[in-house]
Amino acid sequence: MTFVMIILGIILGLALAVGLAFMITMIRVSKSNDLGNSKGDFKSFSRVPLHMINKRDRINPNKYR
Amino acid sequence: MIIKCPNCGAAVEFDPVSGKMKCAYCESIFEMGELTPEEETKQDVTQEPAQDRMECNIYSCKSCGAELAVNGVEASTFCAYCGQATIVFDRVSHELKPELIIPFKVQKDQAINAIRERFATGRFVPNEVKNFDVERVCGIYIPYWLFDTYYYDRQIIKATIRNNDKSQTVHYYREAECNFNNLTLDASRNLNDDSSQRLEPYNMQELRSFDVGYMSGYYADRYDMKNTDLRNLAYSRTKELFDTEVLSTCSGSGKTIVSNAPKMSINKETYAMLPAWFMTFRYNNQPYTMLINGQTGKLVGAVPFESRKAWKSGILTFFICALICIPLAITMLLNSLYSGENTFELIGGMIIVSIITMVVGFITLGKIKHSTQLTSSQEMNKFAHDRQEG
Repeated sequence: MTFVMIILGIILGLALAVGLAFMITMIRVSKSNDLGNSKGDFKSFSRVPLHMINKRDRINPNKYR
Repeated sequence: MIIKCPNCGAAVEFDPVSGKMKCAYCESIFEMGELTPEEETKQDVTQEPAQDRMECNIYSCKSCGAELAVNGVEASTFCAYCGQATIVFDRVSHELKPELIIPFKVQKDQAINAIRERFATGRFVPNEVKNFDVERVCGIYIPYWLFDTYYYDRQIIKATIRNNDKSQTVHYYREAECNFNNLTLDASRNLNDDSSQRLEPYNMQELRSFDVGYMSGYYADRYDMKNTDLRNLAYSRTKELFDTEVLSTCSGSGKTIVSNAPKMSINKETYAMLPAWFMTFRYNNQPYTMLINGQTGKLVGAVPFESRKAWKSGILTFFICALICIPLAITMLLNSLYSGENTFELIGGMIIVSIITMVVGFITLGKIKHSTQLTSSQEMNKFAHDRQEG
């Protein structure tokens, strides 16, 4: 069983490595070659923060509909 | 429209450094509004109130269909958008006069150097691109409608949070309102919305009353979308900004708005001109047009990456990741085996993480390709072509 786990560990480790390497490389390529791919955000167009009138967490959604 | 120097008679242009009008020949400097344009009298144009209209030369490009207004001194043999030498000066037109303008702050050389410097530090930028020859660079005032909007909404937001390794669905209630100022929406059909939005943000504190002198020496794209055409877009953009901000006040993952009651109003619509540099160069016989925000210097555009360099970097990263991930995976699996924990859950988790990283990689690759397509003028051509056919 230990041998099976080691083989499985190698396969899964390789799969993780492939995924991570691809993701990291693409992020680096994006930073290198894709310039200014963001657009204006909330702060770009609003001088004041969002005016929160009412804020409740963990509500029962049926009571608020 | 030509503004002539009273001292020597040469053309006077707006100088971004001094923020004043400067004679290109005798270097005399004049305050904005000090000089009056010399009117041309050759065209029969619709009589409109003088304060609402301004006179411009219009050229049209036979390649991409773009129509741009050119003021006075700028003579061109290339289209500012697609770089093709197929433009025709065909008429003088009376254009709607903008109310506001942000003058150019970034000069032509600064714009080119900024791109050169940025490409020089790009690890995956092809060497031919790093040493690009500028085919064409021109400053264009892009027509925008600036919207002042008010948005109110009551929202119920559903999210998933994790507590002690257990997922739990929670709901949030948010009631909020906000005023947005000078939401920028470009009024030119020739310019892709995605490209123009990437030029954001402009510093709206520097908006000035429109003076035709600011346009001297630059192109001005023609406004061909009315404010009424853009109201739906203003609504969706406002909603997007509001929702993103509201969602940021909730914790958890997979946040979705399950119920809402929005109210929106448009308080003001202003026609304005905002500056941008369009710089075209060729790579593999294809033109690429980089945009530079003429006020902030923000660079916009993407170039193809060099596959060889990407493969090299990818393989190196793979070996480093493998050196870490393989021992880690083996250790975790053996630990779970000997401690009696659920091994299948662990295996499933590792498979999911691998898939997620691949998906993120492909999404990023897709974004790079999309940006590259926007930058290549084929996208502009296609946009114009689709519009002509539509």
